[in-house]
Amino acid sequence: MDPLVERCRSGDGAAWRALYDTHFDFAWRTARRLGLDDADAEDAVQEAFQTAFQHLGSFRHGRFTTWLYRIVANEVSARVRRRRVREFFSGLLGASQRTDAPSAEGRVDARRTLAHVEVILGKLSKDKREAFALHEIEGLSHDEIAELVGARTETVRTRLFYARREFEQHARRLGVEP
Amino acid sequence: MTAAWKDTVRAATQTPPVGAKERVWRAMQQPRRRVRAELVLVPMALAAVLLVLLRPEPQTFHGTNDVISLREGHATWNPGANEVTLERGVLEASVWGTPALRVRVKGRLIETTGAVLLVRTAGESVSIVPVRGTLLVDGQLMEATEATRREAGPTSIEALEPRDAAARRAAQALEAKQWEAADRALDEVASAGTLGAEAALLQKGELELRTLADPKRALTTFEAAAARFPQGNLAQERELSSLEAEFALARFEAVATRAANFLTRFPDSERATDVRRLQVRALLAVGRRAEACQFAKDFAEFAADCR
Repeated sequence: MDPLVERCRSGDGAAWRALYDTHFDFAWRTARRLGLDDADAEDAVQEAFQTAFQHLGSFRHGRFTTWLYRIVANEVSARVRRRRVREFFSGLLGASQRTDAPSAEGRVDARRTLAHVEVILGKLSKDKREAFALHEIEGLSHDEIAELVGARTETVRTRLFYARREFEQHARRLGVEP
Repeated sequence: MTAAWKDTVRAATQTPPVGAKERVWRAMQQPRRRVRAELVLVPMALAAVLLVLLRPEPQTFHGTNDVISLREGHATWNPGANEVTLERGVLEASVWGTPALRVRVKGRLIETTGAVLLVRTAGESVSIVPVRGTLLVDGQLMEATEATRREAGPTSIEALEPRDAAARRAAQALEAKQWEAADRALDEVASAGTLGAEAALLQKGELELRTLADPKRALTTFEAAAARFPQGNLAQERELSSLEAEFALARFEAVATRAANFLTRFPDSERATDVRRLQVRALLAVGRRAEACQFAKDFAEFAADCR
């Protein structure tokens, strides 16, 4: 088991902060790439860490990141369900200007791409969006995704197959080449 | 997905905003705030009651996918129950999709999920004319198949006009989630050129935009609706949906221009906030940040863009 988790469970106060620092970027990136905008991602990460800390005693085996991923994904899913479609679409469009594209044209192009990706991702179901984002954007393997989402590798392959097909269909309808 | 697209998305979502980690950590140190349902629901219920009580003679009501117009007389609208109570006069309603509409009149309850109807009072008698579709009156199915008369004490209820097959098919297809069939049936309803045509066209466009994810087709439908009903009751709703379709097609310049026109024409519209939000997003998408941020002050979601 992760030594930091062990220290947290034994009551070491500093370990809580260290565990948070270690995994914050991962949790935030997960929330963002599953479709939340900056503000929602922060809220989701906060909820996820509070849940994780509260239930750390029940975390028995496996990797802490896998466990945390599921908590974040559940939180994202709950938030997406609560949002109206147009709010959901606004997520990546509201992306901050931290992209490393320096020129105005570059920013506009990036925004267009993000808008297209977000519009299309918003049309996929939760499972397909998750598989697609983890494979295409995070670059994870089928096995890694299966472990993260708690599904069989074959199931992930199937979800990915249909997700890609739908992604391309939606892109063509938008008149863009994905 | 091309490598360029992947790189763009990864770059934009790689690193949290500056200060996010500390912000979230500090927020976590605060006790969790739980929203107590009664603190929200009770004031909302009181506000709804006050709204109904203080509104003396409402003339027109707009609800989701519904148009309820009071031609004469007096009626009150309870949005929580999606229910209108007709005290006297003539009420015209065209209802498509969900939620169901309930009309209370002279102690009777009429329920419908997809009908066009006229309700008229004359003294103690009530006349209901379902122009299309079916209704439940006091829990009993009432079909507009042929002229029907029901006597019930002092109140008589009349159902006139032949059944409209397309409207029935549309309602059934929507219920069965057969979207393409619903789309075709709604088209037929709209072509009939009667009371519910405008609402049917709008619902058809909404179906195409959101459920069938085909914004091009939706836009064609909204344009057809605009040509047929330029001053229709649903003109503002139609314009907002058209803007959303244009946005989904990534026509950001067009969205920005049309949104500005809308806000000039209808500055006090109930749809103005949604249109403004779309306008800001479109302006940001085409790099007109200064203009966007000028309008973005009321929206927390654009804080990062306009910092």
